[in-house]
Amino acid sequence: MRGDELETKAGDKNHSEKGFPFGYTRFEKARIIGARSLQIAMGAPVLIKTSKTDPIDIAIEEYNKGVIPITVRRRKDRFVWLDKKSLF
Amino acid sequence: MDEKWLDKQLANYPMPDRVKEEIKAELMKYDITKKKAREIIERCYSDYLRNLMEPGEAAGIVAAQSIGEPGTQMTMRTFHYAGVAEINVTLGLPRLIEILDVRKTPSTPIMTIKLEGEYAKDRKLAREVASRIEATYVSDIGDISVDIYKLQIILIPDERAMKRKQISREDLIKKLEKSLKVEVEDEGDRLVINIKEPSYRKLLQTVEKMKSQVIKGIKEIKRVIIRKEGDEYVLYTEGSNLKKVMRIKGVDYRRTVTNNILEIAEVLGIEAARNAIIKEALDTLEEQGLNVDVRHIMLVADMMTSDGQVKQVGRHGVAGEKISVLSRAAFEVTVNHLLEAAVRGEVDNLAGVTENVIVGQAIKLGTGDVELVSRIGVKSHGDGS
Repeated sequence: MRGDELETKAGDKNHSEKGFPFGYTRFEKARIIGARSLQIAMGAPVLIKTSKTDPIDIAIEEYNKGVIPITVRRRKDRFVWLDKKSLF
Repeated sequence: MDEKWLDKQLANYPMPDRVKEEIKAELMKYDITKKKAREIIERCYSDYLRNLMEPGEAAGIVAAQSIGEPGTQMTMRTFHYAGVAEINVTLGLPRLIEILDVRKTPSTPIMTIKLEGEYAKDRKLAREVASRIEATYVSDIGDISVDIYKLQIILIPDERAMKRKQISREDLIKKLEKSLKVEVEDEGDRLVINIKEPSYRKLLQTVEKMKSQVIKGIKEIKRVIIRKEGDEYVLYTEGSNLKKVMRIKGVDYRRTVTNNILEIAEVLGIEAARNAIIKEALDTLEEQGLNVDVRHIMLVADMMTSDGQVKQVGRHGVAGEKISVLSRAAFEVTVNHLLEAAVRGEVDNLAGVTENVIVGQAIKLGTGDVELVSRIGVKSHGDGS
């Protein structure tokens, strides 16, 4: 497939200049947690220390700690993705 | 509040200019510290973000449901508009359907005509403008009778009616001679038209033509009502012809509107038509006490006007002109579309929602539009939200 690939910079710490995108959308979050919990359910090693047993709960905790080795690929031709504040 | 400092602060935020201006105008009113102002802007920004749609969200479906659900609560048939004296207006569901179907002429075309300067203030002048707009027929200003024996049409003009409509006798004669191609004789109290040919049929034809002849005003506009709104007189008309009304002296063409969307598109352009669709649809819904967010209607209006001419939402417009065969076939007249596509050898790229549902794939919306990749070896920081 054509189109430039854009990797998201998760967690924008620099707040002086606000730009798009801001982190993951709720759809991306759902997919990441979903994919990760499936891995955990099928026996993948858990990356954090936790007392939880439900794969989804574990995946959510991993997501919140930012250790899930999954990210999303965003294509320029998929949707209008504004990463320049000058667009407004 | 320091204006320059405020501008600099706001420049950092990716918000629409209108929102920024609003915040600025509001902040300029108060004398507050810079820290407080920054906090307020930050709050506004987070509020703005909450109102933003995320990429991948099904905006069209949300819009469809947001208009469709209130639509079920609309009255099936309502006429009579209480606000405007005696003018009938189609309202409720029939009107909404009319707007989305983009009928050639609405079932009740209406114009709201604002007047310029002096004309708006003085009732007499307003009436003068009204008489220039309202269609006046020969039968409105006199009695028509036919003398079969002498092959004559006799018109007895009503002086008072003519004065009220501001038509002079000379004008009337000139107009009749020109439009009917006959000679009119002025016999004092009456006007006589002699039919030269000895033909009874010709006589009757001329009478019929004369009856439907517009002497003054605009043919399409059947009635004009003058109302006082605030400190100015406003004309409401039954029937609509934007192009001609805008040219009439005394009419403020900048503030004159019609409810005929196609006419607006023709006279004022596609952007004006888009605004007209939004306004008409919103007014129709609001009149019924239904509150639908403008943005849903804006999306519909954008779809209807995006290619430069107004197209309806149905079979002959937005839904019928989709690129995808499967999507069109899923809507209406399935077999015809499939057959034609087969004959022409059309290709379907499976880009839309319907197509992917048909072939059984994940749709390109929401979670279905997310492409996961592994991030092994990358030092990780979650967004921690």
